[in-house]
Amino acid sequence: MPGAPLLTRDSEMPGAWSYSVMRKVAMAISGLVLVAFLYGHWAGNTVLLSGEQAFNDYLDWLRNHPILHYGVWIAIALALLVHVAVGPRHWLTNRMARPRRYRKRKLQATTWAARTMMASGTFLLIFLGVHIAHVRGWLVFDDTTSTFQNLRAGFAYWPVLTLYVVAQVALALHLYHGLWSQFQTLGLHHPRYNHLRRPFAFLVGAGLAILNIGLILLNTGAGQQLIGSAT
Amino acid sequence: MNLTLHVWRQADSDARGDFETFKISDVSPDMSFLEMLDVLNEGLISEGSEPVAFDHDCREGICGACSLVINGVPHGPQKATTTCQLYMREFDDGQAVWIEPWRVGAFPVVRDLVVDRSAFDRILQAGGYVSVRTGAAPDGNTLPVPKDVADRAFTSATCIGCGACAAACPSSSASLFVAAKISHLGLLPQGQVERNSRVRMMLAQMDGEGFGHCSNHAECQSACPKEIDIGRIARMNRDLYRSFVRRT
Ligand code: FES
Repeated sequence: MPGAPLLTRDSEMPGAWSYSVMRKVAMAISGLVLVAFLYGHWAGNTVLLSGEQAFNDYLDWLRNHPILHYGVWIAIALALLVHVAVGPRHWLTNRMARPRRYRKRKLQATTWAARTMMASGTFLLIFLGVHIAHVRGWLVFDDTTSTFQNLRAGFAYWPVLTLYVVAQVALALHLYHGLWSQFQTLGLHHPRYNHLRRPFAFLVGAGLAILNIGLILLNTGAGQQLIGSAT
Repeated sequence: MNLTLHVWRQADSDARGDFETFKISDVSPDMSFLEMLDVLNEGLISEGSEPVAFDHDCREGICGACSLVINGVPHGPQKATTTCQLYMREFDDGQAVWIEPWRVGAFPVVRDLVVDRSAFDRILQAGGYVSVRTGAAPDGNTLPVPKDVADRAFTSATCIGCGACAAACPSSSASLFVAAKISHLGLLPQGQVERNSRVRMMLAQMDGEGFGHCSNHAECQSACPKEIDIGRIARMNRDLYRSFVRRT
């Protein structure tokens, strides 16, 4: 018969990071850091609408504030590292914990978003790679060296535009489960406020996706025309 | 009523196992699910075949021994009901019924539909107790406990340890079971002494048994025959964090 040996003494109590629950806490907190960053990222990028000069000024401003710039950089790199270290590990353990699948399975409570976390997460990671390559100019859609022109040129190319929009949908899906799950993991459960947890996850997740999609679309040719005719 | 049963057969924990199909007729809607299986087994025995092995004991919904996944749902289609309290009137005449064991790596199949749930026993041994100095039995009412706290402890104490939570969990996590036990003892004054070591030891044992990790799918609370809710899991997590900062 399998089975773990029984732990018997307090002195044998494992340290915090050996607990799966604590790894989930790391998952929750790193996720929250990333969401906070993405809202800031959106707010900063609204400057794209004010033209190339304003965008370059914004980049200069960031470079002239190294503490903010690199602080944020380190925080999100760490958060991403933790998220990518724990997520797949737990996913794998969970799969191995049921060596034999059910022939018939009727799920009653879970959501599609929850069951596709690994898929949406992997997709988002790949998208992140493409996005960084796009911004850094490793992926060139325009013959200038301007980041601004290269971004707009990318959005003008429909496969890139589609990828960006689909990634936002994946993000909303990922956050719909993640932002709800985070409450449970962190122990934030109270009969008076529980009914707000799902709507919070939906609004914050979908809200971010909609803001991002809006900003992307306004930076396409059609979006610029729309702005032109409105002003 | 007549039914087609697809029953999981497996000679022992190492065997591959497969479904075996049986036609069963004249099932009374007033039979319990286990009585229907008794009738099936009577027939199998009288024709000289091996009866289907399944777990059961009290047959009144309090021991947690019965453990069948019926048409993809632990304990079958009726909410808040153990397999032994499930009646055949919940099924339609002519229906196909798939019967599988709990499929959790930490609960190896012993035979057919019987699984070994000793992993739960070991988790309980790791910390699911309170130490009491014995002597004359104290009067139950000498320790004041607020009514709402007593109620919450009692709701958690209704866990019968059947394992449906882990069987239903897409991640095969035992969190709801462990959380119920921790809330049951940890809410009461008697349970404070070992509050820290309880959550630490039980969770460490749970991780060590090879269960998966809770992913907040909430399937467990839908499958639980006692309707224990996932708020217990959030509370268990809080208890763990508390154990790192407070001594007792
Ligand atoms: S046989 Fe005891 S709960 Fe079903």
